[in-house]
Formats: sequence, structure tokens, C-alpha cells
Amino acid sequence: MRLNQSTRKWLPWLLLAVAVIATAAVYWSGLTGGWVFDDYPNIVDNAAIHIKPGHSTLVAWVDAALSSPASFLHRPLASITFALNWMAGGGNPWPFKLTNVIIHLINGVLLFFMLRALLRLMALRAPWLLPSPLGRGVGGEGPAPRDAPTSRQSEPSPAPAGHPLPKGARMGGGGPETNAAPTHPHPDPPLEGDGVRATRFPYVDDAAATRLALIVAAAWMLLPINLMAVLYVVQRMESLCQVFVLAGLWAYLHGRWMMLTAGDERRDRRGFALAVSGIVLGTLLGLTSKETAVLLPVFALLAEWVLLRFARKVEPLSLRERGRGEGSDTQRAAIARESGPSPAPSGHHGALGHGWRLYPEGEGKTMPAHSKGEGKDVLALPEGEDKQTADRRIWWLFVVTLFVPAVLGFAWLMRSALRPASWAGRDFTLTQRLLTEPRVLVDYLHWTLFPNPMVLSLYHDEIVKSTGILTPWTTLGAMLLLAALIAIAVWLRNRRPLVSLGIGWFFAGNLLTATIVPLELVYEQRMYFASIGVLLAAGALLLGRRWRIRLSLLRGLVVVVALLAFGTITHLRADEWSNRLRLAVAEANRHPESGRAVYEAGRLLLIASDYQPGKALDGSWKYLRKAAAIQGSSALPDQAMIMIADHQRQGQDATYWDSMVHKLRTQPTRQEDISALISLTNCYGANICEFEVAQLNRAYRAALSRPHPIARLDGAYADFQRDIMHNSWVAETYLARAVAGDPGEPAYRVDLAALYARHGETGKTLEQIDALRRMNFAGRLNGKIAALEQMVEQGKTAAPSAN
Amino acid sequence: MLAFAAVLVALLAITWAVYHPGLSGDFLFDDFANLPALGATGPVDNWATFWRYITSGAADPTGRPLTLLTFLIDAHNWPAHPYPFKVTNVILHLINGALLAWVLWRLGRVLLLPPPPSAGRGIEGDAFPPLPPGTAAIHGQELRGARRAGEGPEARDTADCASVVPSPPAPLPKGEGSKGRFFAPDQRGIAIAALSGAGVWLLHPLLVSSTLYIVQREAMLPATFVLIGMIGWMASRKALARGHVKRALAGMALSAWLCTGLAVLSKANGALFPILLLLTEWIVLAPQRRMPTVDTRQWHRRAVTVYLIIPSALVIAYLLYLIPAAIQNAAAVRGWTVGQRLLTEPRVITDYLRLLFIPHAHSSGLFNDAFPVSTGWLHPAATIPCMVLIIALIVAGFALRKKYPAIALALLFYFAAQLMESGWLPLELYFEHRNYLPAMLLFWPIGLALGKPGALRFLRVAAAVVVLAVLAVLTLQRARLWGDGFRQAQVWAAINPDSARAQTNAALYDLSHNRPRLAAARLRLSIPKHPDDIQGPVNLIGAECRLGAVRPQTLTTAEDALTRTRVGAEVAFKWFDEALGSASRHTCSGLDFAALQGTLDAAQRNPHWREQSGRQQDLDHLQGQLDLAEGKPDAALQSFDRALAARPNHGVALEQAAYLGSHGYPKRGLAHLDFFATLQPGPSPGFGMPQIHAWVLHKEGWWPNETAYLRKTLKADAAAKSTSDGSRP
Repeated sequence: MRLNQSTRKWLPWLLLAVAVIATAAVYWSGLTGGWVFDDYPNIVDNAAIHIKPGHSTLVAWVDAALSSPASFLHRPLASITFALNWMAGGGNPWPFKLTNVIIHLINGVLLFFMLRALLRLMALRAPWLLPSPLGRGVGGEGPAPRDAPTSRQSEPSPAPAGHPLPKGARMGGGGPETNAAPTHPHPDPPLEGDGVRATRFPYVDDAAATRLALIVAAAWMLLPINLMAVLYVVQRMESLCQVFVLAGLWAYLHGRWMMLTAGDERRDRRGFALAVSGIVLGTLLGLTSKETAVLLPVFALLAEWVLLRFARKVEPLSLRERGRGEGSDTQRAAIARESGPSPAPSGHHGALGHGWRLYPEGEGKTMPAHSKGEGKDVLALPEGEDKQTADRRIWWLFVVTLFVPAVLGFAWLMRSALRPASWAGRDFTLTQRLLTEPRVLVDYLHWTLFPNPMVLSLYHDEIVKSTGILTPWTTLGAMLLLAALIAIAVWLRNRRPLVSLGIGWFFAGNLLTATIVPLELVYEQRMYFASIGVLLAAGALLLGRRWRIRLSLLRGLVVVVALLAFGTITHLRADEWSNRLRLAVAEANRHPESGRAVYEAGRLLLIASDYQPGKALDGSWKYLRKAAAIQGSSALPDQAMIMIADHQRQGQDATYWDSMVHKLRTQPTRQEDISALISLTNCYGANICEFEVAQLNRAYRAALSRPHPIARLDGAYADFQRDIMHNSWVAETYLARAVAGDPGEPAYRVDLAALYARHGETGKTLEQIDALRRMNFAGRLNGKIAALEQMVEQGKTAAPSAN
Repeated sequence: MLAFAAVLVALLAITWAVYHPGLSGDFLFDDFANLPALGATGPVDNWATFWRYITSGAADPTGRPLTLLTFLIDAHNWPAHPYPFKVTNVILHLINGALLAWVLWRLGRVLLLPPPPSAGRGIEGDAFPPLPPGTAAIHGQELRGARRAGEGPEARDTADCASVVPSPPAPLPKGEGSKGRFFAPDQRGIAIAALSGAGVWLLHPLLVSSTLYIVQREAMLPATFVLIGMIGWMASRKALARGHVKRALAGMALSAWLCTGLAVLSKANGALFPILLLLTEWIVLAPQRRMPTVDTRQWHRRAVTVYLIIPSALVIAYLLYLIPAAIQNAAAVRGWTVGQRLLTEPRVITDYLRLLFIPHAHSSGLFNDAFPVSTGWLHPAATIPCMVLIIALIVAGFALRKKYPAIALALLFYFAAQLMESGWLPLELYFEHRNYLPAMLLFWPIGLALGKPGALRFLRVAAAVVVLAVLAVLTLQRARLWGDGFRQAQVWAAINPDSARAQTNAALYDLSHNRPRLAAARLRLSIPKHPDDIQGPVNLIGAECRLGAVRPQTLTTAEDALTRTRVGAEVAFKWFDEALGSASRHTCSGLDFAALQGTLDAAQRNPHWREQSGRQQDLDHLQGQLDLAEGKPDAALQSFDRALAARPNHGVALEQAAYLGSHGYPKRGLAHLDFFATLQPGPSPGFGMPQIHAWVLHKEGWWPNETAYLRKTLKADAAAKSTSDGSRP
């Protein structure tokens, strides 16, 4: 298929639109699904984001923004979008999921632009930007040493100079014409050919760049592993954060491109400003959704390290000087390029087209001095002995945005990682986590490139943690594999920079979640950015950087099959997600070892049964029993069984209590365990469950017997003591512990102050009131403070003990 | 120029708007120490009262009469309403902001524009070394840019300059090439710098505690005179450069001396003006605008010496002269030594700088008495780092003066203006309002960088607008807090849990809002942290009165504090006065005459007060009052006599005699006056305004008149009393 100029302009847009529409269609059926897992604490049970249209006050929005229990930064932007969705549709998950899909599509488009900017920068990669000796074939995936076997292109130049995109170019995944494509996208030493040939040695040709960007973006949008960041509502935190990361990265790369092609200082400075603001704003805005945004400078640094080498635009030097010593015509020719109008829809093709004509066409062998060309746009080594090609500003940018924060951040994370209390809620230690994560990363790679709908899941809690380097043996295997990948990335840095960068991004994307932070071990949404790296590496390996490639039919087929497979699997998953009961049962059956998956099936069946005997309740029993029996499972299944047994009447519940108490006493207390206790407390308080309250007390005491207090558990126990046992003194003790454990949480302080006031301890009440006043942003606690003050003022006479 | 004015007016309007919610606030803290003078000798509605009032100031040797004068704009009597005072303060702030914008505009022009042609073609070629060819080209280019941008009356100069002097004789700092010129000359950039620099200062939340704290008009007025003086000095310099020697010298005298004088009459801080002006002259004016002829240069040298260097030297000498007294006083009055103050102030200034560059909506406010004193180089650990930082900034100020004169001036101006209040004088350690004058130039270099022509200026200006908007929002929030005294007290108490003043202040508001239990709880929390502090226990006594009964241990606490405290005598004595009334009326169970006698005995045991005749006088006076309330007139007379003998003084004698008379003992009152007549006159009032005040009173015959009047009244009372006594048996 031959494409004319105008087609080349709009075709990428069209294909991008097709990819976006296809993705939307693939996800469409999943929009009707329900809430799962962490949606509950963050959205469904988080009253602060339930803003009703009539009650949208500033205080309410501040409250909503700060309401996420997920981290100390509170992820305010994500919470605000949740609140907006809630306002629009009440508790209906549909608008939430629709918003998530739209965010995902925006990310796909941003990814395309970011990759375009990246690949365009690669085109600038000229040997003299690299510090390595030029003879080593440093030109990237293409350039080979002169003595390397070079497959000669039998067909003459596919396009005249000035039109790097051949007329016969075919866009998209179909693969270009196959015959006589070079075996490798090696640039041949241009001097052998005519002058025209010398001008067509871009390091990435534009058409190939667009093709690669398009395919990677489409694959990423359709990628099954990314479903988790889309249909799992609360993971909007991840996807929204990546909007800013991708936009920031794009801005950075575009800014760098402006700097390297700048004709004047003004443009150079604008480029730098864009690069800086991309990094800084991208990180800061991203942080309002999730902490992973701090990795943006790392991604940019990797791009810099692999592709750009901190290069700066330098004044041109005359041919004679360059020719001295190292100036083989090869290298000179390699940069000689004049770009035609770019097919990229990036909107910058004008600049690309006119801005960096490196050497005038048709002067391959006898290249003139730069004065003959448009010297202001020439990239070259600085004159004389000064080989300083690094742009100091870029170094400083990374010193300020990455190195210094990274050192501080690492110290801060280490402090918490080395504190045993941080791991109180996990059933693994720091060492075990570090041993297990390599296996997880290998799994991620597997799930990304060869997704298996039977393995992909919301829950991966069945993963066996590594306790030693050979237990299981795959620990060492995974480590070796990852080490090999890193070695390959370093090794290929010059020859196949995109592969190298892709591997780098994969590792960088997992830098926070797969290392020392005491998070859970596996979640698929953690691959949301990292999968870009995987796809980029794979895509670059598959497609190369030339428009014309060998075996293009085969390669095209691989691409098509992959895209179809990704789309189909994602669609199947989305379909499964469209009904939460179906999803839960399917997950439970596929992952019988996952306590969470099996419990979720039991729970949803229980809700479906409405505690009435029947098939659903039987099914529920089955799953719950199974879940409770799984090694290391939480107290939730036991809690559910107690609720069934004691629903409206006292039943045979002793075994479940014993099982629960045993778990709570012997296993680390996780959030789910605390939720189980809270549910039972609420159930009892509402007179729905009629169990012996001493059992619940026993369960609480079992959990409290674990080392390291957990604020939420202390708070829950205090509520239990106050409301159920009516022992406000014990409640006071535990609330005080909760406040000490989580001093930034106002709810514990409000409760504690109320108890102090009730006990006549006015001084302590006042201390809590003052503390609340210090965290009273935008007056959000005014009502509570006033109520507490009233309690003090109207309370019984203070016990005269203070002073 | 029109655009400049428009933006400035907009800035002023925004400033007014964000300050507006703060106008409804209350009198605070030191307001109560200073403003009652308005009604001390009757309403200020005649010249005699006026002179008595205007000379009544006791702060500084000057008594700050100019500030007192401006208070008359807002009220003539006491008690008064705070609203007009706050309005006047904010208007003064706006005037200062406008003046600052003007000063920055002039300074910017001096710094960035080449001197006018008359100066440029000076007689001596060496004034302007020839430029290297490259720089000439750059400057030529810059000038063309300037001409394009110049759209006001000022533009003509530049245009002339560019046409007359092809290679403009930009004054280059010694040894520096064009590098020394940090910014290209560009009128718009100068305007942006002036407006953003002044705007940040106008809208900075840290200055709310100067503008809305009525008594700190004392800090604002010197700033006004400093700015006027700077404008006058620059204009006079220009006149001198043009050869108008007489006019220039007169103008310089007015700017330097008169403005310093007026500033000093507002607050002693104003005495630093010659130093500030000298810094400006040295860093910006002299290097950038050299006088064109030998003659003018000589005059200029003399003027600088006479008007700036000598006064600066005098001020510094005087400050040094005060060191021994400072060392002595600090030990007596404050809980720290001068050495500790010098260790602490770098931390204080670092904190000021933190608040200036990382503005907050809320800060510790007026109650910084809990700021921890540095007791050693490493206690607290921040002492040394902060000291290194401050020294480094000062050194940087000197080091950068050629390369980056704006930064150097901003830094040195800041530290020089802090010299008096953050140096060795034993004032309190920390007050936000001490930044009002010093911070004026601090944001100007940033403004210059933002307005610098070049890439993305639009974006930089947008950034400046965003910064101003953020500051406006923060200031609005802070002003809102200041507009609600009750909430302000609670928030400050929450922010400063260790400040006895903040806690007491909040408790007092609680009491006035009928929340005695909260007040008592707050005071009980605070008292153990400050065993020497007297305001906590005495107010707790008040709160417990409201709750029913004063507990004995509260009285014990008060007594303990009274035997130990160094400060707070006024608070204690004022409270005693009220408590006496309450005890006489038996309105508070547990607070009887015996209890009051106990507290008074405790105060008598206070070793810090025993040495001070004024304190002794107060204590004996209170003893007399207590005796009288207990119905022991002879004991009372003895106590009053003792009090008077401790420090003979007209006012005290009259007050005590009147007190005896009003309690039904006019004869003893007369006897007291007779006793006073036998005493040697007390020490003459200290140097400065108190002397003048005494002179005014003498001139008006105030004391003889008052004494005669009182004697007459007492005699009449005595006569009436003897008649009734006589008629009774």
C-alpha cells in the first residue's frame, strides 16, 4: 500500500483512534461490575467522600480530600474524583468505572505522544553525543561496526532524500513490504553509495517511530494485566497518578528535544523550562493521587542515561576539525539527515522538518563545512580539546529532583522498614519480602507478555513467600533471571537502547512496590507503568527502528496476534468483572489457595442468600469453610460463619470462635482481621448477631496479645469496650494508645476527648481539643471541637486532681 | 507608567480586601499597656491634655510621641473602639506598600538602566572604562529592547541614551565584565520587579501581626519615613549629579536627618535609617551612579560622610555603649543573659526567614514567650547551624555586592534593620512584627529575576501572580483569624501549648465568654509548666471564683509564683486590686483578706523585687489598700507613707491621699500629703521624653493645681466628717 503525504498525516491519528475505541469496546462490558476489596474502606465505607449535591461545602471537600486511609499523603485528587463520582451517581459503581476507563484511554494517548517524543529524541542520537569511542558501533540498534556483516539493501533507496518515510510506507501493525528489507536495521556505511544514501541514516526513522509508538500504546491499552488499574475502582489512584507521570515524561522528553535542536538560546531555555516543569509538576501533581509519582524522575533519568547521555547542543565544528583523528565518513554521514515532513501527529513536525537539518542533502562523501549547511542547527562536538558534552543543567535537575530526594526518601523508608512494628500487619519480614519479590517480578513479566486469564487475578495472596535463597528454588532462579535482564540492559545500552530502556523502566516502575516498603507482596496494578517498559522492550526487539524490516509478514503477524490476544483476554476478564458474584466465584474456583478469593465468593453468596437457607447459603458455607481452612487466611471467613451461625439467634459457633482466636493469636494482625472484629462488634451492637460477647472479647484480646500495637485495632477495641462492654476506662486506655499510634487521625482524638470529658479529666480533654485545633484545616473539625468544649463546660465538676 | 500605577492600585485594593476581615479584631496584649494613655489624664480634647498625652510615652528615650500623635486620629479617650485604629494601620500599610513600589522602581532603574547621558559623558573618561566589544554589542541589543519596552515618560532617557551613546557607558563594577550586570536593562522588567517585590511584601501574612496589631503602628511609621527618606535621597543625588549642589545638599539633609528624626520619634528602630541608607548608597547607588564631575563627586563624598557615615557611627557607638547596661538589666528583668540572647537570636532570625519564605496561614502570633532560649552552643542543637547560616548570609551579602548588588542589598538591609531588636538589647526574644521594615527589600531580587527579559518571562510573571495569589489567600485566612479575637485566642493557645501568655489569653477569653471550666482546665494545664509565671495562678483564682470556690492549693501556687517571678508585677498588682474588691464584697469563697495578705507577704519575699524601689512602693501601696479594706486606717497610713518614702512621687502621693479620703479618712489623707511635703523629691525622671513630660507638667502647674484641689476636697470632707462625728455623740 502506498501512502501519499496527506494520508501519512492522518493515518496515525486514525489508528490511534481505532485503538482507543477498541479499548473502550473491550472494557465496556466491565463497567457494570461492583465494588471489590479495597474499594470498601476507600470509597464505599468512607463516609467523607459521600458528598451529596446539596451539601457540597468547602469543609466537605477538604474532608473528602483528606479522607483516604491509604497513606499519609492522603491522595487528595483521587479522593476528590471519587467524591465527584459519588455525587454524580450515589453509590453506583458505574460512573466510577466509566471514569476509570476514560482515564486509561487518556493514558494510552499520552503514552503514544510520550513514545513519539522519545523516539524522535533517538533520531538525534548521534555518535558524537556519546562519550564512547565512535568506532564501537555506538549508534544504537542500527549502526554496526564497519566490519560487521552488513546486509545490503538490494532495493535502492526507498525514498528520495528529504523523504525518509518511503512512499511505500505502510502504517500500523500490518508490516511493511517485505522483500529486500535489510536483515538488520543497520545503517550501512553511507560512503559507498551515492550522496543521496548518506542522507538517510536516521537512527529511528519517523515512520518506524510512529509505528512502534502506536503498537506499544495500543498493546498497553489492551494489556490484560492493566485491567486491574481500570476496573478495580480504587486503583484510579494508580491510573490517575500515571496521567501526570506520562504527561510529565512527555513534557520532559519534548523539552529535551527542544534543547537539543534549539536554534537559539531562547528555544533552548524554553526547552529546559519545559523539561523542568514536566518533572516537577508531573511529580507533584502525581503525588496527589499516589506516591508512585516519585518515580517520574527515575524514568526520565533512565531515558537520559540510555538515550541522551545528558547531551547538550553544542556549537558546530568545522569538518576539518572533526575529520581529524576520528572523523570517518561513516560517522559524519550517520548524522547527515534531513527530515521531511514528519508523519507524526505530534504537532511538532514543522520543527522536525525544518529545525534540524543537520547536513544538506546530497553531500555525503564530501561533506562541506557547516557554514554551508544551516550551521545553527548542527549538532556536533564542541571545538578543540573541550569534549564536555554533558549539559550541566540536566545533572543539576536530577540532583535536585532525584538524587537528593532519593537519599532522603531512602533514609526515611529505611527507618520505617527497619522498625519491626512496621511489619506487624504482615506475615513476612523484610528479608522474606526482598527474597520473594524477584519471583513476583518474573511473574509480572510472564503475566504481562503471556497473559493467562486463569492466572490473572485481583488476589495473589496465595503466593508462597520465599524464606531462603532456595526455598523455593525459583527464588534463586528469578534472581538470576533478573540479574541477567539487568546485565542485558547495560550491555545493550548502546546497540539496542530501546530494549535497554524498556528493561530499565520495568525495574524502575517496581522500585517502590517491590523493595523495602512493607506493602503486600503482589498486585497486578503495580505493573501499570512498568508494563510500558516491558512492551517497549518487546516492541523494539520485534519491530526494530527501521520502517523496512525483514520477515515483516511474520513480525506483523506476531503483532496482530498479540494485540488480538490481549484484547480478547482483557475482554474476557472485563466480562467476568461485569458481575461481581460471577467474578468472585470464578476467582475462587481458579485460585482455591487464595484465602481472599475464596472468602469473597462465600461473602457474596451469603449476601445473595440474605441468610435464608438455600443453594446460595450452602454455597456460601462451602466457600467460607474452605477459606477458613486455608493456611494463613484471615479471620474474615470465621467472622462470616459466626455471623451466619448467630444470625438472629444464638447458634453453634464455638469452633469458629476457636479458629478465629487461634488465627488472631498466632498470625500477624492484618487489616482484614481488624475489619472482621469490627464487623462482629457492629453486628452485635445492632442486635443482629446474638453470640456470647465474651467470645468477641476473647478474640480482641487474642489480637491485642500480638507484639506491636496497631492503632486501628486499639481504636476498635476501645469502641467495643465503650459501646458493648460499657467500660469507658478501658476504652480510654486503648483510645489513648490509638492516638499515640496514629497521632494524625482526628477520629481517635475526638473519641478520646469525649471519654476524657465524660471522666471529668478536663485538662486531658483540652489537650486533645488543642491537638484537634492544630489539624483543623478549613474548619473541618469546628463542629466536633465545639461539641467537645460544650461537654467540658457542662460536665460534672472536674475532679480536682490536676495541677 | 500608567500600567505600573494601575497594577499598583490593584495590588493595594487586593491588600485592603484581604485585610478587611481582620479589622473587626480586638485590642491585644501590649495595646493595653500603651493605649490607655489616651485617657490617663482626661480625654485629649484640649492642648494641656494634648501635651501631657503626647509626652507620656515611656518606651525608648523618645517616648515615641509621633506614634502617640497618630493614635489621636483614631480616638481621644480611653476606653476606645479598636476598629478605627485598625483601619488607620491598614491604610498606613497601603501607603508603605505604594512607597515601597516607588523605591524599588527607582532602585531598579539605578541598577539596570545606564546612567543618563549627562552623567555618561562625564569629564573624566576613567569613570566608564571602555567596554569589551562583545559587551558593547550585548548592551546595544539590550538597549534596543529597552527602548521597545519603555513606554512611559522614563523611556525618553533611554532612547536618548541609546542614540547618543552607541556603546552605552554602562557603569561596570570593578573587575567585572558584563557579567557584573545581572539583569539586562529593561523597563518592564524593572516594573515587574518593583511590583512583585512590593506586592509580596504588601500581601505577606507574616506582616499581619504588624498591621493588625494596633500598637505596632510603632513599627510601621519608621518604615514610612525610611521609604520617604530613600526616595528623597535618590532624588537629591540626581540633583547633585546635575550640578544643583545646594538643592541637593538640602534635600539630602532632609532625607537623611529629618526622616531619621521622624522615624526615631515613632520608634527607636528608626535610628537605623542612616545605616540602611548607607548600605543602599554603598551597594547600589554609588557603584551604579557615579557623580559626573570632580566637584560633585567631592560634594557627594562629604554629604555621605556627614549625613550617613557619622550618624551611622553614632548609632552603632550608642548601641555598643548600651551593652553594659544591657548585661545588667537582662539579668534582672529577663530569664536569660545577653550572651544567651545572642545565641538565641540566630535561631529566631532563621525562623523569621522560614516564615518569610515559606509563608503559613497561621503562626504562633504574638505569644512567643515559649521560644526556647539557647543556653549553649549546642542547646538546642540548632543553635550552631542557625548561627552559621546567619553569618553565611551576612558574608554572602558582602561577597555578592558587586556581582549581585540586589541580593546583597536585600540581605544586608534585612540584617542591618534587625540590629536593634534582634541584637544585644535585652528586649523580648521574638516578635513577628520585627520583620516589617527589614523584610522590605527581601523579595525584590526575586522580582528582578522574574522580570528579567528572556525566555518565558510571561510564565515567570504568571508564577509571580500565582505567588501573590497564594499569599493573598494566606493573608486573608490570617486576617480572618485576627478579626475574631476569641477564635484567635483559642488557635494561638493550640499552636503555642507551652506559652504561658497564650494559655492565659485563651483562658481570659474563655472567662469572658462564660466558660470558666474550660478556662480553669487550660490554666491548670499550663501552670505546672511555668512555676514562676504569675498570670496563670492569678487568673485561675478568678476562674475558680466563677466556679464556686478558690482552692487552697491554687492560692499556694500563686504565692509560690509571687516569691519567685521576675516579671509580671503589673499583672499581679492589677489582679490584686480587683481581688481586693472581690474580697471586700465577699463574692468569692476562699478569697478573703487573709488569703490576700498571704499573697502580699509572698510577694514581699520575692528577692528580685526587694531591690527595686518601684516594686517596693507598689507592694507597700497594696498593703495600705489591704489595711484600709480591713478597716485599719492607721496601718494603712503607715504603709502608704512607707510606699511613698520608697520613691517619692507626686502622682503616688495624690493617689494615696485621695484613696484615704475616698475611704472616709480625709484627715489621714491630709496627713499623708503633709508627709509627702517633708520628703526629699524623688529621683528626677530619666533622660528623654519623661524629662519633657515632667517639664510639661511643671509648666502647666499640674501637680500644684492637683494637690491644691485634693487638699481642698479633703479638708471639706474632714470638716463634714468632724461635724457629723461631733453631732453624733
